[in-house]
Amino acid sequence: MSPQRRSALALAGVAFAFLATFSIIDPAFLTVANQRNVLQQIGATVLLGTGMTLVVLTGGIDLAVASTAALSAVAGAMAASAAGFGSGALALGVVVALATGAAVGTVQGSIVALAGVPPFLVTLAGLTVLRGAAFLLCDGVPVANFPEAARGIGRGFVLESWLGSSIPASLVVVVAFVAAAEIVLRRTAFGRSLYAIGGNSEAARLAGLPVRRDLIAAYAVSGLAAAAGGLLVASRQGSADPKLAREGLELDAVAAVVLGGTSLSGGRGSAIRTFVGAWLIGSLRPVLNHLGVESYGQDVAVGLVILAAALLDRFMGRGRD
Amino acid sequence: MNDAGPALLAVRDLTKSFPSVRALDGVSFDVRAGEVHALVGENGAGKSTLLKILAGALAPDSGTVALEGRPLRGGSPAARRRAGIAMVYQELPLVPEMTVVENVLLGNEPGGFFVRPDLRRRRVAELLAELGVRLPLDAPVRILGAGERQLVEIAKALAVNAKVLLLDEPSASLGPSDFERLAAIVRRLASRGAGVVYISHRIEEIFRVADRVTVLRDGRTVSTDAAGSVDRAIVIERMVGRSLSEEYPAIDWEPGEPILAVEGFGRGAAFDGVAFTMRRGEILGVAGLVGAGRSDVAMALSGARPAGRGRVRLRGEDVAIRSPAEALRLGIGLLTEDRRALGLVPDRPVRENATLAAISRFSSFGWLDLGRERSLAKEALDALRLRAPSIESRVADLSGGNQQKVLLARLWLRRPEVLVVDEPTRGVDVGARAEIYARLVEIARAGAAILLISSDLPEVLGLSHRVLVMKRGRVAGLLERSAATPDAVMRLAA
Repeated sequence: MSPQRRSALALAGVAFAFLATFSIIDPAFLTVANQRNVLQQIGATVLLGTGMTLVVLTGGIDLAVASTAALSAVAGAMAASAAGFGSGALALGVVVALATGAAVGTVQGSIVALAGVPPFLVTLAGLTVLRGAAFLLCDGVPVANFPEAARGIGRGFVLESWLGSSIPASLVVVVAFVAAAEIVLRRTAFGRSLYAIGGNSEAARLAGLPVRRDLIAAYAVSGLAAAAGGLLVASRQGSADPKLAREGLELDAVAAVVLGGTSLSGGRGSAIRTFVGAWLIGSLRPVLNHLGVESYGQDVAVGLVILAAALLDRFMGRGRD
Repeated sequence: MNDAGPALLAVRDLTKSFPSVRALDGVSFDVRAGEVHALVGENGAGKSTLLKILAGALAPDSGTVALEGRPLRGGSPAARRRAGIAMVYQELPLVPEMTVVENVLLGNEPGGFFVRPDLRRRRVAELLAELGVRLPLDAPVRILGAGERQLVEIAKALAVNAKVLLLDEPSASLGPSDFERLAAIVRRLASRGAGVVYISHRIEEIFRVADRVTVLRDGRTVSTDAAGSVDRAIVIERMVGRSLSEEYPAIDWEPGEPILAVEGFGRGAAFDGVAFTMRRGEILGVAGLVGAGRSDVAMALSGARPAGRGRVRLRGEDVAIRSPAEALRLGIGLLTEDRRALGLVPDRPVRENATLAAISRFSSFGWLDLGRERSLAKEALDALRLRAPSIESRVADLSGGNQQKVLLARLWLRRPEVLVVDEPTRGVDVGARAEIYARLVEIARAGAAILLISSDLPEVLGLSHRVLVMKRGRVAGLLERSAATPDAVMRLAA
């Protein structure tokens, strides 16, 4: 059995074990209502984590995703607000937010790819700079009073009439994004290049791959995904707050990536894995709630699960060499 | 030398299985004090597994290893070193930024807790004197050549007063004169009473350094003989289990018109004023000692480390080669000498590794046609008789020879007109070598020009139309096939 397959089976096994355990602990866990709730909660983590997956596959990391989300959401909301919050204005806001995220990612990626500064440092700087910029941009005052239309994605549901039970609109966006990322990773030259860069960047360069361009693009996609995550949170909250996602969302995203089994040293992993990772973390907290574990205890548990997953991957996913 | 000497190291009936393969299936041999004992076998014969067991990095399933009559059980590599068995690794795990002194004493500092500079220098100077070599003690290891690093590595083994030295492919990155030095040192260590286990793919070497030869095949010991009582052909036959009639394919065609001309080529202090021309269908060999600048020329010509000076004319037009991507677009491709660092993407499947430089052949607007990729990869790998469980296997799990085939497939799938192949058979077993030679010859016969750089002199002489000899970064001479004898090459190179 190939190590990839072993590792994929390990992830499936862990997911199944969680599923079984959670169902026993909390009979309500597998109900549609609960799962809908979980999937709605993890939307932003999945978006940020999926973008980050591309960066992590190259052997890098993007610690600035939560700050990027806040800055992009504030920029988009201010643009939409200035244009009067009509439907055209909302479209403008979305474009401005996504463009902001992509631009921020492009700048960070360029510093990594062209100047050779370690990604950890570049995006650690980005984490503070962009958060500060979000506050400066709106003078610390959240852009509130979103019209109802702007809250649809975050709170709304689709297919209500078809299914009896409805699907959160955010889930549709998130799943589409993950699926698109997975297809890009598996079926495009760009995806192939990301794996090669993370697996051996010098080999990728000597094989004639556009290493710098693709590195920059990976950070740009991560910025774009972070902006989408920021919009999702803002839509749900009905306001774009510079404090948005300040409670360590970037770390949740890293955790989802790692728990999914994407290697932090690059070259191994996938977008779907990150989705599963985010779902596991997102499921764990409500179950712990049900057990009466308070939030600090939950932090301890989540951290230990991440560590356990890393250990499991280390021993299951590696072949002998 | 002492024929009836007692066994210093006794290996009995070792077996070791991995989930998918039985790596060792009853290996026994003795190493006597004062002898150089060569261990030969094709890749996959079990040499690496055996060495790891001897060095304490792996535990055998059954069988025993005894040092001076005392069985060794379990234990880590560090414990084995203390017991007196030291491994000199093929991949030279030195710390590049640390000095010669620091590297030699790494993990074995003299004195107590605090570093004693005077003591350390004296100790390392003594060790190097024992080896009969001089090295800059305070130079960082990164500035040393491959041959010198090897010496640091051996000194490191001496620092623990090793009774048994395990040398894994010590000559893999050495040229002929570096090898002479190594051979002298190995003989010297043995004459001082050490037992040396010497592994090499270069059979000629075995007869130069070893007292006895043990052949491994498919995880078993086939034979142990005094080196004087067997010859090269017998050893090879035992290794592969069949006789190899023709080692090098015939070079019996005439090259066509010139395709590439290089003049005044140079970069920094690495090489300078290099000039040569290559013709379509020509195999131009490049010989020289390690450090003569051969690989630097290869890296420059393929854009990996662009040249600073000189003129390159390709198909009659001046070209500037500033990156590997640009070189490949122009039709110049590199097979790197450093498979692991510069070639393989170890975690990815064979298929992706093989097609990495030719993605445009099975994609349009960035979308991959995986079916076409699979058939391209299969075709290229079948032509090289790749032996792998599947093209979806992780490339890191293949033997060195098969990994090299994957990289040659990668290069050729790109269809370059000029192939720069640097040490194409380093660490490659005899059977895979023959297949790589056959493929290179087919490629040249079909009209591509090949610059063949190799430290294996018989290989260069056996495959080249002409041989360019380099010395200290410059061209020392150019020999026609008929004039290219080992003597003539060495006179120019040394």
